Amino acid sequence: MANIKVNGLKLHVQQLNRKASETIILIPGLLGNVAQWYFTFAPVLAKNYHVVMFDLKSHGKSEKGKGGFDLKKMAEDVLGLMNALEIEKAHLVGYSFGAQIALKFAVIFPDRCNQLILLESPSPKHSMVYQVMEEQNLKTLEEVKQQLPDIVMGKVKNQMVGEGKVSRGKTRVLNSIMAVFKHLCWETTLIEDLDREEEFENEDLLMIASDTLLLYGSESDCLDEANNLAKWIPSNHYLLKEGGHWYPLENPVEVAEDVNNFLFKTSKSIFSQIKAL
Amino acid sequence: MDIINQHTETKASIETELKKMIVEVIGEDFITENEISTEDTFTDGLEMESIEIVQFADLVKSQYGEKADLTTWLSDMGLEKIIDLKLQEVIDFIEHEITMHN
Repeated sequence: MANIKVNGLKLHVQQLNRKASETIILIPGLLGNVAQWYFTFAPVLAKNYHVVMFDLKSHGKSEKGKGGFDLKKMAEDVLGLMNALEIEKAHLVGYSFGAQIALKFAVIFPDRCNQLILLESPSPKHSMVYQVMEEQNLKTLEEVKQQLPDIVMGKVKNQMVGEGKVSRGKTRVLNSIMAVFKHLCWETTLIEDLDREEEFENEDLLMIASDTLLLYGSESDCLDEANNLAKWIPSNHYLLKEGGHWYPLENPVEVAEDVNNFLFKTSKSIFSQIKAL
Repeated sequence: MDIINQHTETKASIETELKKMIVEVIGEDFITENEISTEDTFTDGLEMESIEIVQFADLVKSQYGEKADLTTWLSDMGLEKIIDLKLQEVIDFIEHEITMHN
């Protein structure tokens, strides 16, 4: 297992097709990890590109951190990873929170970002914290921090085992997920960092130089943000697919093909622009 | 040693190696090599998390290198098949690939 030290923490990194000339970095969402791409999404892209996958700090097999879960610090982790792997410029693909990180990266490090692919990027003001406060009628961040692990684990357990008996193996998996949750809620600044995050400034979105693919599910609760990004990012391609926020995770191969096509078309158009000069 | 015996020995040694890797990933506190059957599936039988299957694939890559490209093999299968994959199928795949390379 490859671990690379980035900004003081060891991040778990997986790579496919290192010999390719162009690199794509895949950024998972909150509570996700490299497994969401590894067997399905990444191999499709690895036919043409060097693919880099990593676990965010405190996620998957990466080392636990205590703070720095705001988008700027998370984007700096991506930059640190690129520096450690000696990657000058990369295409970025992010899902949900990972898409917000990719977008922040394109805003603050435009020279290091090639094309940008945002899968289900929500508004920073529509985070897990706000949703839980609304759904559970919670008033304070402290209440969210205390109750979030149990709320989410209830849903996960129901999904995994329903009303049936929980086996020893499933208990192990559930405990492992719960431990990550408790760590994030109780031992890190994640909840405060999510709460403090501001919307992207329209002026910053206007300055994005990367060709950008916006891919959302038609039933997603993030469509307000999709429309906002489509309005302000100068060169964007907006794809609406039949499904909800989970569409990219439920249809990884189809989405990888969409990303492939987008990268191919935009590279061709850049090539024709260069030729025209 | 005839060809059939060579194959049997290779399969047996691959099985031993893979079981060691599974114990390494899941942890000795939760499973021992004796508790693992070649008929176990990775998700339902061994109840591995998806990130643990990535770790397992990584260990296979370190042990068998380019001879047995497990990631590419799995990615050609699709998610539903991967979920139902048995340990025996991985052993057969690795043994087949090693034989082809020799």
